[in-house]
Amino acid sequence: MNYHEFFRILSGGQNPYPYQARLVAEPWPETLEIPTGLGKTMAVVGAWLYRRLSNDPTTPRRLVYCLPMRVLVEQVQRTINTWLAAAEPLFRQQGLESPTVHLLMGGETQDGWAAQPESVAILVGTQDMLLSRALMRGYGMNRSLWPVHFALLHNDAFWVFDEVQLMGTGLTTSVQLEAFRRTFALGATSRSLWVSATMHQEQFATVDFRPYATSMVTLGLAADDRQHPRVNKLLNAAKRLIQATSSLTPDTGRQNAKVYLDALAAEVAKAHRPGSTTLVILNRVDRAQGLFDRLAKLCSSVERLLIHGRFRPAERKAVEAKLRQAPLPTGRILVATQAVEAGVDMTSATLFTELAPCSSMVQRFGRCNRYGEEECGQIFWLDITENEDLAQPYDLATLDTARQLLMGLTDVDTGSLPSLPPEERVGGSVLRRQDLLDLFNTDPDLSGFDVDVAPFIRDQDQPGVMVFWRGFDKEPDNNEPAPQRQELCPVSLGQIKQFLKKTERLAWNWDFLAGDWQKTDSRQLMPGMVLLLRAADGGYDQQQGFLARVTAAVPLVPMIDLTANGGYDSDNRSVENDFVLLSRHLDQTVAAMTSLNESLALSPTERKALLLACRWHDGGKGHAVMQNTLTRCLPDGDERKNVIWGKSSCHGKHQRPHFRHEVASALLWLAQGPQSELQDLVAYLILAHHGKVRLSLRALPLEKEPPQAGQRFARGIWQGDILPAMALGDGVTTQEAVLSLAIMEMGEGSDGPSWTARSQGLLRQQGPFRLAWLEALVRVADWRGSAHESTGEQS
Amino acid sequence: MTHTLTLAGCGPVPLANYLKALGILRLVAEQADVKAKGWWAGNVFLLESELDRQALCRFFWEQYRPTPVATPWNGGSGFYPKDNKIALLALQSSKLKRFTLLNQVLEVGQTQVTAFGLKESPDKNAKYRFLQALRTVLPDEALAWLDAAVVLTGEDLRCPPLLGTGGNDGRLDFSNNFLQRVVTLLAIDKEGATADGVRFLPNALFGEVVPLLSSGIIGQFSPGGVGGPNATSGFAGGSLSNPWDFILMIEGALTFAAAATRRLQGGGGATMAFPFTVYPTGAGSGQATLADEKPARAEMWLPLWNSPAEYVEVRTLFAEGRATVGRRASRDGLDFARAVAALGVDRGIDAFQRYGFLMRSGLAYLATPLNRVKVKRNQAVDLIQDLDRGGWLSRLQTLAGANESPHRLRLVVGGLQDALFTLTRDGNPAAVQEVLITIGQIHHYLAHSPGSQEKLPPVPRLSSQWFSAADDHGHAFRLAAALASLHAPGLPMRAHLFPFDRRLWQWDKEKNHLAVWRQGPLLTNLLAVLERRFREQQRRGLPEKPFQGAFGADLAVISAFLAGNVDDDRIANLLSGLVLVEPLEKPLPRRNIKPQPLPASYLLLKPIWVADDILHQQAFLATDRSLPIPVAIIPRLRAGQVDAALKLGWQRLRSSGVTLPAGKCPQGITPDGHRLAAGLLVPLAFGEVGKLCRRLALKSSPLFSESSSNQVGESL
Repeated sequence: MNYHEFFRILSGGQNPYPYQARLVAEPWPETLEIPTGLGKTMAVVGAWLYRRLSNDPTTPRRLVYCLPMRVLVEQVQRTINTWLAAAEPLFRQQGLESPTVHLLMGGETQDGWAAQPESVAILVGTQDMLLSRALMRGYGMNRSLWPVHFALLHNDAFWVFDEVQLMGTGLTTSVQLEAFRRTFALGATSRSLWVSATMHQEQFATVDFRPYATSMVTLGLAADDRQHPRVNKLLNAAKRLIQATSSLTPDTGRQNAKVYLDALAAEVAKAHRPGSTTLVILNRVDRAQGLFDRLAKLCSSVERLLIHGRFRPAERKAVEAKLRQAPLPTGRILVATQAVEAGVDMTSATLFTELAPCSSMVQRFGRCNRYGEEECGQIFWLDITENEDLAQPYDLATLDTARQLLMGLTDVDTGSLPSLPPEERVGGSVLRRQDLLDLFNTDPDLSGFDVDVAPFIRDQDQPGVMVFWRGFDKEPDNNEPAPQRQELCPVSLGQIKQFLKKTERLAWNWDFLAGDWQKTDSRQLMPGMVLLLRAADGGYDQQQGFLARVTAAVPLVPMIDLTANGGYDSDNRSVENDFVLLSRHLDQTVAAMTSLNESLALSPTERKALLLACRWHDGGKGHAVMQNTLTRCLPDGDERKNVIWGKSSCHGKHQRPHFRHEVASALLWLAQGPQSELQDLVAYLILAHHGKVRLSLRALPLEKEPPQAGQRFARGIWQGDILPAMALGDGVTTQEAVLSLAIMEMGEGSDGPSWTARSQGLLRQQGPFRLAWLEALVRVADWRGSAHESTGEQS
Repeated sequence: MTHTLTLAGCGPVPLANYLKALGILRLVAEQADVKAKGWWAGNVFLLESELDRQALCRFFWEQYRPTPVATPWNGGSGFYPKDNKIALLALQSSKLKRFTLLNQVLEVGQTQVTAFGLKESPDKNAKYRFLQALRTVLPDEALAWLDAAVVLTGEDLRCPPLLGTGGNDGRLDFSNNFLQRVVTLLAIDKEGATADGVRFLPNALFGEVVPLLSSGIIGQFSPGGVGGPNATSGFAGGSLSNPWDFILMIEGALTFAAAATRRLQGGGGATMAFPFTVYPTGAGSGQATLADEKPARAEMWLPLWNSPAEYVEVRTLFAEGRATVGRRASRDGLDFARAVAALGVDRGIDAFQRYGFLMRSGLAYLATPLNRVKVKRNQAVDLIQDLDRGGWLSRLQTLAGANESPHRLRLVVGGLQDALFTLTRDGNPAAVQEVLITIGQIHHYLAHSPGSQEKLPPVPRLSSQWFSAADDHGHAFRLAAALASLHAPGLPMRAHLFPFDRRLWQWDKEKNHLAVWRQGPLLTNLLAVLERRFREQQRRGLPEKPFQGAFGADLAVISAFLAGNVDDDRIANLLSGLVLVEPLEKPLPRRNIKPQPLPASYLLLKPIWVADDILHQQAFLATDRSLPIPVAIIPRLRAGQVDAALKLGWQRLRSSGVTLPAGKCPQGITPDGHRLAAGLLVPLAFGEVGKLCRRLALKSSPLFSESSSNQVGESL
């Protein structure tokens, strides 16, 4: 099947534009420069699907679709889903598994994709969610899974960065990460594609990508594209630009911009044409909310919608669903923030927009008469002057530049817009090689600190926090289920601080180490936090989104999946319900790894290391503390107390707080595993198999200490603890072992080099991406081994 | 083949020499032998590598590539028109490979200066952007210097004290000086070192004596070298201005480059982002006082380890070196001392050499060597975590540090800092007691300062571990512990000393009638407590006498106390701290001390204060009988009418059916009424009550013979 046929099936009968076809015919470019409205997403996803279907070796199996803003994500997912539904039979015919789509957003709990490294999948997410994961500090997720997400996003991953002009610092980070993927070893090939209407090559000349930047391939519109009737119509859809009468000045901006908003509401009501859509884009959520309020009085018969980034998905979905329907005879007014600048596939006959940076203005113009469906779209721009405060989130100088540009324009159809210079970025940091290596180490954070990678992700407008509301009286119960995505509302740090100013309002943050909800005051707020609020405290309106001044109780989102918070020491994925002998669990894990090996092209050395790690990974479960926990629900004298279990149905905390069996496993391996050059690598894979102890082996604060002064201890393992002789399955046996923690100390000691020297050596030798890849594979095999047992399947 | 060299020129003191050791290890590992290891042995640094003595010298003379150290953000750095450019120009003229990277970085710096159109070093506002831009273009190898000299956090710029104010110390720019010394020591037109370079190296490495150079500044790292007030410390027989010292010191300082995880960490407190660097604390060194806290800039604790470690381990240790205390980052020297106990132990560190960057010499900050802190596990240190919950300790320090804070509060808080510091070094019971005492004093202050109460709640709950950690088996402690453990529903001992709500853990807004403790003698206060508890029993109609304790004293304590042989003030002080500790879950270990004879008055009266339930269990009292406290007995004791009190007691025992020893009611002479009352208040251990009862029940005993001196004739 050629690409045209494939494309027609996907799109329901349309032919690809010439550039869309070139994306398949030619090698993957690095950048794709196409004006808005010409099917960039379709071009990329279609080409990727077709190439996967054709087993193209240059096309990684995970398509990572990175968007600058949250509002786009679900829409893109929905669109892709329809294409996938169309493509599914084709994959089936070839005997291939059909790709799946996964969302990565705050509070997204479906990490099923992370357990399927061999599956073909599309991951759609915001730059906050995806880049934080690529930096090993995934926002809004269980921290022990950080390394797995990191691994799968750097290996066998095809990164597509859409609307790069809105990415800010994130763009530089994405470029640097690509450079690092080209210098450090990978477990499987990855690549990047940057997509935008306007691309500036100099943005790619970062310190580490510079050598590659000169040979970058760009794909854009060619002459045959421009002659295409549909393209022609889109590029030349008429739009007239007029300055609105209302403007935001220090005068009109007083008292929450009362004068300005009153005037604007009247102007909007007047300009609105029945039967059509009017779109009003304001730069700030509070103004959007204020205008929305006023329009209720002025145009009560017109359908009014509000969209911005401070909604719970539950409410936002409802708005988006309405947007997909044709407007009523009276028409529709949509009030929005810059959240609709990119990707939201919608059009309007009349557009009002506040002054914004040039690139944003171009995006906003694209939302008017998008498909040439009107004879002429009307665009009113609203001036903002004289006050840095009013100009927020932009700065006055940027707005001045934009005003200069607009002053000279009357027609702004896509084809006749002048090309814009890249905007000067303010702030933001460049991710350097050593930064990445430092971030690879997740251990220090386990003591409750969060490293803030925000400077690498966004420049202005720091990523905020997520909040959700629950109906409890005074204090939340520790069994309060973990938040679901449907109920999480993104809020800026400023807004939540504003909310907390009222004294009786409180916020709680889940403390993974202590396993309880901790009151969080304004000073402790960090980007990426997920905060629990009391429904009775208010702060949210279903129509208007997050609004600190709302005092009425917040309606709760119906709950579907009630799982309690995963405490720091719990690892729900591998907690099973049956009694499973240790040797059997090890057999199952090895079997799972063997089958993973078959699906992934791994080198013989890698296979060997992975299989050894799987065989030995739970040797530490022979530790008395672990066996005690595993058999504590059995009556005294029960025969089952005499064998060594890998899993059981007994629950409860270990006698030693923060006990980690994998530390014992790794020590056992180092003491008794066969000597080879793989020794340290296997030890690392064993140690890291829950993501809780990795590069650094240290005691946790508040850990129970051994009675004897000077006795080493770390993670519940004490110097001199004894592991019994064990059978690890497949004929592998161990002798009774006296555990030594000498390697936790600095310098070469009685057991050879320290753990730091070994793990840093590994990091140097393997590089962060491949090391994480191998680490993730062991964890996946462990999960699968456990799943087999719980479902009673035989391998 | 590996060689172990003793680098006698690199001791842990002064700071310059410590850094030199790090510099040598780093350079050898990065440029000669990746497996090189280094460690401390006493006052010297040992280096194990493929290089023997001669090869090590040759390495520095012939191969060593100076790390690109450039500070184009500073005036005097050589990048601006008015600067001394001699070294820069000389290096830039060199074609030697060993200077290639260095020259590349100088060029990048120059390009940035030009791009920003700078004619002089950027001012405060421009500096951040300049540095940020620089950090995006510098080669990886040059980042360590930048990250060690300045830290760009999300919004501002911070200078680790180690490298002064961003790579300079007053008017001394470190990088330009570094480059000047490079051209002094290394030939720029041919491979190899200059004559000076050859001559001075053995001194820098091995401490060999050579004639000194006269010029050169070493700045804050070696106070001895700049002739300030500390000119006599440090260097013994070494050269004060060996240019190699300066070069290697700067090379070593790069170890302090802040790791990303540190730079990006959230949370307040500027200095805390830097490895092993903390805010100063006046406590502990014996050199500085509270008054020193403001001008002093920072303090560093530099680890001394004694196992051969690779450079990568040292770097990792420094990355870990922003110590955490419990669950938050350490903020000051005291915090750090606590973290020392943890990180030091985990990593097998032998000791920490403490340095203060104290402003004692005009504008130049000097690194003053303070004491050396030996690392050992000290479980008592963990107790301090209790004080820290909810940031209580730091809030207390803030309160005391405020400009308007009264002298008395400063004094007691200073005392607490000292006590805590002592505790971090040695967790013996005396140290723990000292902490408890100062906490008690602070609470006495807070209890009478409504203004402070608004800013600070009572100390967080102290775990019962404090009891065991403070237990020195001494009389004063045991007695205070028993008193502190007095409890009855709604009547904890604490309530008599400090008015706060136990459930909400807040100070009582209203006056609390239970709080009867006043400034004054222990005996007066204990009598007041006795009275108040008795009255509360009556008022509330409590079924049981409110004089039981979770921990009971033994009779040896009582006899010593009644005889006036225990320091009353110490008891009072300890009690004030101990009432803040959670009740003991199991009693403290029994002591094996034979009690001195007990006064008959105590022996007779004590059962009256013991719960009936216990007396029933001891078969002292028939199970259908009770032994209430006679109403008039306390006023008698208060008035010093011990005989009258005894009489009341005697009658009471009789009417409750207790068979008393033969003879008449004894007459009381000693102790006086107040002391006796105080002794009666102290709860006794169950077993001790038993001894007492058995003694009384010996009918034939001549215990209370009329002529007796009212002392029990034998030990119980």
